[in-house]
Amino acid sequence: MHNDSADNALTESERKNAFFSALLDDELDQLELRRFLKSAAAADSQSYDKLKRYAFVRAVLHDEISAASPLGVDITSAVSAAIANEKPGMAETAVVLEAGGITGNSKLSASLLPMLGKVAIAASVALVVIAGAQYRSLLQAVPAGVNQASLTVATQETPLVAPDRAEVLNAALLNQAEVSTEVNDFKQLINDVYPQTAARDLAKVSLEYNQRQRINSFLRYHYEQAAANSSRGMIPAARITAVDNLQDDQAR
Amino acid sequence: MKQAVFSRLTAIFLFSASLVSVSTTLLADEGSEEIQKLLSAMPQAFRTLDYQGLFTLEQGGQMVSSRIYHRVEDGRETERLVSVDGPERELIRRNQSVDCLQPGDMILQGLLPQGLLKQSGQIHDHYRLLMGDDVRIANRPAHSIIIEPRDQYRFGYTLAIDKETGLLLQSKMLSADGRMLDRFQFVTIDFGAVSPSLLIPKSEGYEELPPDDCHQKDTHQAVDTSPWRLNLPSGYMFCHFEKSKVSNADALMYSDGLSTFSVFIHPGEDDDQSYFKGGTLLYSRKAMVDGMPYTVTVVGEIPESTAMRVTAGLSRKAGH
Repeated sequence: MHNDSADNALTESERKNAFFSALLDDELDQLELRRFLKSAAAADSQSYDKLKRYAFVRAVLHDEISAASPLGVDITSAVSAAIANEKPGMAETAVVLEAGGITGNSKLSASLLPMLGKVAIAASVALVVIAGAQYRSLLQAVPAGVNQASLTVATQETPLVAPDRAEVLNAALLNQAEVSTEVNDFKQLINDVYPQTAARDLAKVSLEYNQRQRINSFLRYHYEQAAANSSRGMIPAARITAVDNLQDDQAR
Repeated sequence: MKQAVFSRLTAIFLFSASLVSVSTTLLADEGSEEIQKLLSAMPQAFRTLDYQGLFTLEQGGQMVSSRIYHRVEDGRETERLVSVDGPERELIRRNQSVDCLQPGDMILQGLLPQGLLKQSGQIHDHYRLLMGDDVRIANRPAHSIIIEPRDQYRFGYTLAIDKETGLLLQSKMLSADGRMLDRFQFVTIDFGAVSPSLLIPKSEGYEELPPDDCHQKDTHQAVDTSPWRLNLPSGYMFCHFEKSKVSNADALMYSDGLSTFSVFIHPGEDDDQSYFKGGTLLYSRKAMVDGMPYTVTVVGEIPESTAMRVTAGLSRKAGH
């Protein structure tokens, strides 16, 4: 990205930002990536987490949502714009929430904008949360609790990869072949959840996401109420302690 | 001649078969009074004793361990649960009367008033109760009780109950084909005074358990005031109804003393689904009631057949 003398002239944070920018623009070579990972891992975990989030955004930017969405909202440029303004430490989901809000650039008539804007926000958040979850599953088993991620996740710092599995991503990033395989798989996944159809499909994704949230809330509610209203003899409160660890099973 | 031999053999076979079934029934009935006593003592053991321990909960191949602290002072109990692995959870149950009886406890203790008793029956009407061989759990000798469902509307259980205190030390929930669906088990437990300092929550995000729904002996004030009529399998008794904060759904709870499920009803049409998380079923079905679309969701430690039955033919009570 820069030669050594230029590096010296830049502050540490400027150098990092330049790196992130280069990463997003696909201007990094193997050596630079390797060098950065080494220093990031040694220096601070914050940069490292940021790198992981950018790796995700990069996949979205370069290989996926390049076409304007069916709503006329150009997600790619919206995400790019949001990233340009990003404050350090913001999560990728927050970025996309901003992106969903940039409907003013669309060619839709003004009267439709408020309504479609809402759909776009919900749909794009749902899309990225779902896509994010699926991308994660390519790198690792989906961490417990991903399904419980609520819409409030958009305002929270959400690491892309569970810390204990960071090595997996590290290894993947160091191996371009693996990265491209994963990006292709990711592309396929995006195509699956982001078909070239109309807004109702995006709305459907959002709706399914809401249902998922609702049923998980019902589960918590059931455990809490059972602790107070069923039978103390069977110690129902014990189940509450495990609710965040539960994963879906097949029907029995 | 051949025919006569055959029918004689058949008669002998049928007679011995009936002997076998009679002896099984006798066996079950012999132990059932003792078992009933043990089941009846379980809720009070959890309420009235001071104890602290470590327990595990296994569900769907996952296991979480938690510490439990329980202290009784002046007839009021305080309980604190803290998970020690996985996501941090800290739960507090405060200032509950030790005389409190939850609806399911009343079934276990055979304390239902006559009217309800006729309606929902007793534990042994819905489960076969058998004494198993003694076991050792958390370094304590325990009775083992095998509980088999008499119909397809509940799961089976194997319980281990502490011989000295009557407290439940282990509970395994089993599917009809004998697979373990979830297991609660103490790893260590100590009885004896628990310091009040151990009942103080340590994490910022601790959660208060909702106050117990308390009932008095021989009464059951929990009247089903919900507007819904559900097709309940026998043995399940109404426990609780309220408007939940989740999607403004009506939330109802039913229990047969061992198995418990919730029913959530909210306007709108969610996709039908049915799957398990650990031993807990999550089951949603669309339902048209008086021309309006609803989704009814059943969540509980029950087989799918129970949820199918409960949700089929959902209707409003007259006057609602």
